[in-house]
Amino acid sequence: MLIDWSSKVIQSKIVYYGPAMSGKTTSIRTLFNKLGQSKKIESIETTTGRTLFFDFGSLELQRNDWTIRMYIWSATGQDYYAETRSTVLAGTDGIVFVVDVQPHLLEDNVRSWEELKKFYGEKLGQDLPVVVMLNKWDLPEALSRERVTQALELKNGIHVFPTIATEGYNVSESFSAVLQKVFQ
Amino acid sequence: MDVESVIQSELEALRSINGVDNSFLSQRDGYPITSAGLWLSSDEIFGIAAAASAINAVARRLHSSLNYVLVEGDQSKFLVVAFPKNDDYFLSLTTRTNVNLGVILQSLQKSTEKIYPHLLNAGELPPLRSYSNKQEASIMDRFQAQEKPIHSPSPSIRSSSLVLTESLVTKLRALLADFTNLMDGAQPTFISLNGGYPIAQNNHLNPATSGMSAFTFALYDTCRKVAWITKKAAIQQVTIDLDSQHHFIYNTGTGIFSTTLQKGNCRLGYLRLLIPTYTSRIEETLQEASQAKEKPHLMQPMNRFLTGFFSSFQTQTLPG
Repeated sequence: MLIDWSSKVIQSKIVYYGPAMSGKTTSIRTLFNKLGQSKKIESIETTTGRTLFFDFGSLELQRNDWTIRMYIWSATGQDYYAETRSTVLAGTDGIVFVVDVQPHLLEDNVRSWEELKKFYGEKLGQDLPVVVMLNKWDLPEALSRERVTQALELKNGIHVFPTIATEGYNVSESFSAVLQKVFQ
Repeated sequence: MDVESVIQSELEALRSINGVDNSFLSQRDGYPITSAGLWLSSDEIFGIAAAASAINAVARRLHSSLNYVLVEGDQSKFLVVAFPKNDDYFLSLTTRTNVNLGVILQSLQKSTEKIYPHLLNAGELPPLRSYSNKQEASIMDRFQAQEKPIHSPSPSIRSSSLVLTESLVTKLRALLADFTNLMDGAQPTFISLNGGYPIAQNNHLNPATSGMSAFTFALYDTCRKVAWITKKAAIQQVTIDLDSQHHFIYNTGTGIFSTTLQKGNCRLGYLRLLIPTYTSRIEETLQEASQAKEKPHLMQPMNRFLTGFFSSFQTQTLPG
């Protein structure tokens, strides 16, 4: 977070992280669509339209004489580009971890979560706010909240939201929740 | 000669230049196609090719007329070279530090000119290669084993609150104004913190700076990783060569200094002396910025405001 008393601007960075195809880019696009800012997202994509490096967008809100400028990034989930993920995480104030609740992808979710834990250690979820999205919640075979919480060994206090990014269900709520923790 | 023989021959020619360690052709998604030179392992080439594709993609996003990106490190140089009018492929070179860059760039120009018509006429040749998820996972597992241990947090992954006072921002702006006065036509020139936060620009910061700052930081940080993968060393600067401009990116300790100059207006030797003076002064100035131990009193009102704002977009029921 950067607080500039000169121009009265607070800059903050939120990163969407998670395994490949879990819905990180969709979540960001849906969020920006809801806020009427869909043109503000830029993506570094592969030739097949998947995230090669990151998606990036910024949102700006005014309150009295202060401006809050939020930078929203998503890291690529593709393991081939794993080396680029720490660049995306640099300087982040909060993380939205996007779980794909399909049972056969549980291991991928755990691997991605473990990777985050290796980057941040005990700070994850304590000094560094995290919110977890259980995405694709509408699938009949979706893993239960308890199963994911147990598999990821989530600490108490980490908010978990069942979400459907394609339909916008709980997308704003999860983003709002991470911001609340960042600005606590 | 068939396409692959032409490419191989050109890569070998580049590799034979004194000081060049490796040369390779990649598809724009980062999949290496052909290489010349000795690599430590296949993991190394895949890792560098993936990072090179990220560098190439971001540089192309920042600039429409990309010629090459030059990463100058303490122990190596790395070049990502665009093909004119073809963004499906790019060339990369790793070299030692004491190389004749002029010779290399001249040879690269000849090589791209020779390879380009073949790529253009070859249709799908050489094929856009890809690897299965299992192969990728296997590559990356082995790749990470060679890397700086992932459990030691990267120095760039820091999350702290930095507070900039009015006097500090004024100082930074004065430094940038001083630099742009010396370097006529230095536009845009800005300072960003690690993570991509823009903090000062020669003009006033504007919304467009946010994206530029984010992309420039991402490019620089990826270049830093390439230097680490190849030689476990730091980098000094990144130069992006465009048709009529140079874009320079330097490290300032806690972030980057970025400036774009018209080619006719800059003497490279002079710049190389001048910029480090400024980056040192920027670094010193930024050290004065306080690392906020406690979040300032304005956080709570902001929190309430954000909660109220986003509640108007919230979904109450599960759809369907």
